[in-house]
Amino acid sequence: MSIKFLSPMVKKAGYILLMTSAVLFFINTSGLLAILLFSNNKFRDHSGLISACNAIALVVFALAIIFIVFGKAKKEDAYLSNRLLLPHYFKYAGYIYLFFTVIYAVTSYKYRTVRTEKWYTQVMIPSYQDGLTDEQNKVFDSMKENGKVVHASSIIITPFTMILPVGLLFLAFAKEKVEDELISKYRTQSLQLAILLLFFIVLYQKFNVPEIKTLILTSKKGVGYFDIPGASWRADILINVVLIFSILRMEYMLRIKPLFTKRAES
Amino acid sequence: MKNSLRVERAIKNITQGELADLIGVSRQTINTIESNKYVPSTVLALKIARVFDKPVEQIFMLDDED
Repeated sequence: MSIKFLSPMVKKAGYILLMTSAVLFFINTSGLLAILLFSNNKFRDHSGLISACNAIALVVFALAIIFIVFGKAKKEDAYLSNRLLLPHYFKYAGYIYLFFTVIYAVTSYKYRTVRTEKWYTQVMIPSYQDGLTDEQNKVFDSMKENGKVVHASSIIITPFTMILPVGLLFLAFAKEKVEDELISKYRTQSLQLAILLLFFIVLYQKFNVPEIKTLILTSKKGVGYFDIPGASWRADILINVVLIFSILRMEYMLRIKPLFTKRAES
Repeated sequence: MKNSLRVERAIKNITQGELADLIGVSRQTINTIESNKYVPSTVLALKIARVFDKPVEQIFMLDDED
């Protein structure tokens, strides 16, 4: 690997790419891209374009990580801090990102996408709906009326599981103003505790939450059954748990605990 | 490991914050070192020793338990 490749510029390019991928993820997921490009044609299917843009954002994200990992730090005093951490300004970017995530969550709930799926009129009415997801419940509730299905992005699922982790990632991995070995130690401990928490959650759901449930549907047209996913937590929700726990623990160690420390300043 | 950081700081009449600024760490790090809650790395110990113009072993000493 050439020395030129490892120049600080490579690391800087990685930071720019990371910001770019974050913006791309946001505009793709929030539907801003579709609004910007197809504002005149609301009901056109944009899934192909969105998928392509998500793939681009993912590639940009992967490149950013490679550049950050292999790029040389400007100041090579890595013994006092982790050189893989993001610069401090990513913390502000993280807060801005979270702000827009909340804005998106609220507005997407208010102006949610609605489309009608006619083929669901042929589906049988379920005899019971226990264990259905919110989205499936919406389907069956609307089937009972006139066969219309309303697809809407959930205020919880879409924004808080698809784009929230990006903002949390910035907050969890951005350096403090003065980043030293003690803070680095706290960060490592926080992530280790978060992983233990994750391990507990995964084990809990492995033993207590069924992965698949079979739903039997009956109506005058006949009987049918199909498998639905159990209530297991999704990977993106688990990532949020890890990052939020890690951030909260860091904030406690750095800003709350010192308030109660004896002989804080002398 | 114990240390005489608090005493050295009192002799030189500098606060935890001032010492932290001199060696480029947070004030909390100095506080935890003084309270024997955290053992600094060799680099940090050497930096601290340089500020007080003393050998490291005069500021940081091994305990009986070490």
